[in-house]
Amino acid sequence: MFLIYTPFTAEVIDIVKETPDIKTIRWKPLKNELHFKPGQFVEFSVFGIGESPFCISSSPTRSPLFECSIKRLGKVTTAAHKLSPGDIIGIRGPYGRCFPLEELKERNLIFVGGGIGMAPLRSLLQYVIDNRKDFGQITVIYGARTVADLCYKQEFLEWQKVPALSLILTVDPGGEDENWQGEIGFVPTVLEKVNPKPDKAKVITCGPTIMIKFTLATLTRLGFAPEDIITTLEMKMKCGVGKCGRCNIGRVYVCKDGPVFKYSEIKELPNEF
Amino acid sequence: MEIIVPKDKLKDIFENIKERFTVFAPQKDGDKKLLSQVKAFKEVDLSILKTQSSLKELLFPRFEILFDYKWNKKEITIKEDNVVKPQVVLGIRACDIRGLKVLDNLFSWENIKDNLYLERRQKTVLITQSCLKPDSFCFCQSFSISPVGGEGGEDINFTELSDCYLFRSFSYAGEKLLKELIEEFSFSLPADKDKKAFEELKEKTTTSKIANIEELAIKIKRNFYHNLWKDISWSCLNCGICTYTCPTCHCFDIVDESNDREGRRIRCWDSCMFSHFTAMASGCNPRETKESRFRQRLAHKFSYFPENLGIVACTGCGRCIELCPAGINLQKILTKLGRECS
Repeated sequence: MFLIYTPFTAEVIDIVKETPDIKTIRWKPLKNELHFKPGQFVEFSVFGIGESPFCISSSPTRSPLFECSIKRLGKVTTAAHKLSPGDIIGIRGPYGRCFPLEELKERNLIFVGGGIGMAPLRSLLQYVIDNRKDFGQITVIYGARTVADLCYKQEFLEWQKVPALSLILTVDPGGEDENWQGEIGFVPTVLEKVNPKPDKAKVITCGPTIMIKFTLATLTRLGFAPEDIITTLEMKMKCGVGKCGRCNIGRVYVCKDGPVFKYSEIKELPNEF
Repeated sequence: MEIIVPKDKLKDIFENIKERFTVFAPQKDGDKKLLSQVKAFKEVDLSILKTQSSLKELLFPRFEILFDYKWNKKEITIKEDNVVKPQVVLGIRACDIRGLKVLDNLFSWENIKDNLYLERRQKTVLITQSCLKPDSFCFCQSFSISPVGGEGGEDINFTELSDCYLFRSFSYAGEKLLKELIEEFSFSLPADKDKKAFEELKEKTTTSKIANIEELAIKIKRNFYHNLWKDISWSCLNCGICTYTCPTCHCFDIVDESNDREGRRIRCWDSCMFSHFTAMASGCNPRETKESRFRQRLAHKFSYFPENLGIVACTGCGRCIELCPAGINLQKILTKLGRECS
C-alpha cells in the first residue's frame, strides 16, 4: 500500500554551524530523486523523535545536494542539531507552492529577510544567481538581532560578486560589534532608507511575524502593490498534504496552498497569523 | 433491490454475514453505547439510536501505526504493515454515512490519496438502520439527510415495519449480498402493503431543522470579528469531546514512539479545540484564545470545508450536543448565527 506519510531515507553529508542556534544540514537522498522549486518545503524526520516541516534553503540548481537550515527551538530541531555526517534521516516532499518564478523573470528583485526567515529567500537567491541573465537588478536586505545571528556569512562574499546585486546587511541596535561595517537598525527602517523603486520590481520577504508586519507597511508606503509583494508564511503543520487540518486559515491550507503567498492573497484571509 | 425479512430471521442473516466478515454493530456496555466488534447476535443492540463514537472511528481509528522502523548504526529499515480486512458495519445511521462522505472527499482531495483510509473504506460494507424515532439532539434534515437512508453511500438499509424488516440495497456490493441472502433463505420481495407502510414511516419521521445552512458559509466569513463569538464560546471548556465524537472531524497528529533501537510512527486524532494544536516551537500561536478556536471549528465545518470540498462538514447527528459537559448546543448556536448575523 502506498502511503503518503512514509518518508524516504537520506544521508546527512555535511553540517554548517551558521549561528549559535542555527545549523544548515546538507543531505542527499539514498535512492530517490527529488525535484523541487525554491519556496517548497519537506517534512524532515529524525527517527525516534519525529518529523517537522522545513523549507529547502538551497537552490535546485545546486542539487543533488539539498540543505535545510534549522533553528534549535523544539524537540525535532534539538535532535536535528545533534545529527552528524553519515546519519540517516527521513524526508517527505517536496510540498507546497513555490515562488512564482515565471512572474519574477526580468523583474528587479528586492529580498527582505530577517533571522532564520532568510532560509527560503536564500533558495530563491541562489536560483536567481545561477540564472542571473533572466532577472533584473537584485537588492538583498538582510538583518538579524546581532552579528552572530546572521546566517550564510560564508556566502556573503559570493553574493557581493554577482553583477548588479547589492547586499545590505543590518543588525538590531546593540547587536553590532567593533568590526561591524553594515547598517544598524531594524529591517523595515533600513528598507525605508534603501528606498527601492516599485517600478518593474517584486519584493520577496520572510522573517519574524513582527518584522513582516512592519515591512508590509513600509512597502505599501513606498508604493509597492500588494500583488508585487511575496512572502512565505509560518504555520504549524503535520501532514504537509492538506489533510490533518492544523495549518488551515480561512479556506486555505498553508501547507498545500502556500507557504508562498502574495500580500494581495493574505489580505483576503482572516487575520490569524 | 428490495427484500422482506421476517423479524425472527435477522439472527440468521447475522450468522451468515459473520462467517465471511468481521462484523461491527452497536452494543451496550453498562452506560456506554459502543460501535464495536460483535461475535454473537445477542450482543447486537439495534435499539441504540446513536453510539457515542461515530462510524468514523472504524475507518479512521483514533490511533493507528503508519509504519515501524528499526535502526542499526547508520541504517534504517522502514516497514509498512497495514493489512486491511473486509468488514461489515451493521445498524448505523444515515448521519454517519454522510460523515463518511465528508471524509471520502477529504482523503482523496486533489487526488492526494490517503490509502490507509480509502482501502479500509473500500473493504467495508455498510448496512444502515432507518431512524424512526430521532431524538431532540438530531437535526440531520437540516442537511437534507433522510433518516430512513437511501441518499447513497451505504450499501444496504433496513427499516423495521410492523411485522418484518424491509431491506433495500444501494450499491453493487449491497445488491450482491441481498441476492446471496435470498438464495440462502428464500426471502420474498416486498408486497404493496410493505412499500406503503415504508412510505408512511418515511413521511412521518422528522428531525429539527435549522434554516438556511448554506447561508452560514457567507455569514460566518462576513462576521469573523463579531462579538458574538466570545458570547457563544464562553462556557466552552476546550475539552475536545465534540471533535472526538463528531463523525466528520478529522484533524490528526503524527508522532513517533521509540526506544533506542526501534520505533513506530503513529497517527492519532487531534483537536482544534486544544491550544497546542497550532502552537509553534517558536512560541507563536495563531489561535491562542478559546474564542478563536471555537470560531475555527465552526468556520471550518460550515464555511471553509464546503467552499473547498462542496459539502458541509456537519451531519446534524447531535452527538456534540448530547455529550458536551458545558451544555453547548450547536442547534441553538447555528440558529443564533443565522438570526444575528447579516
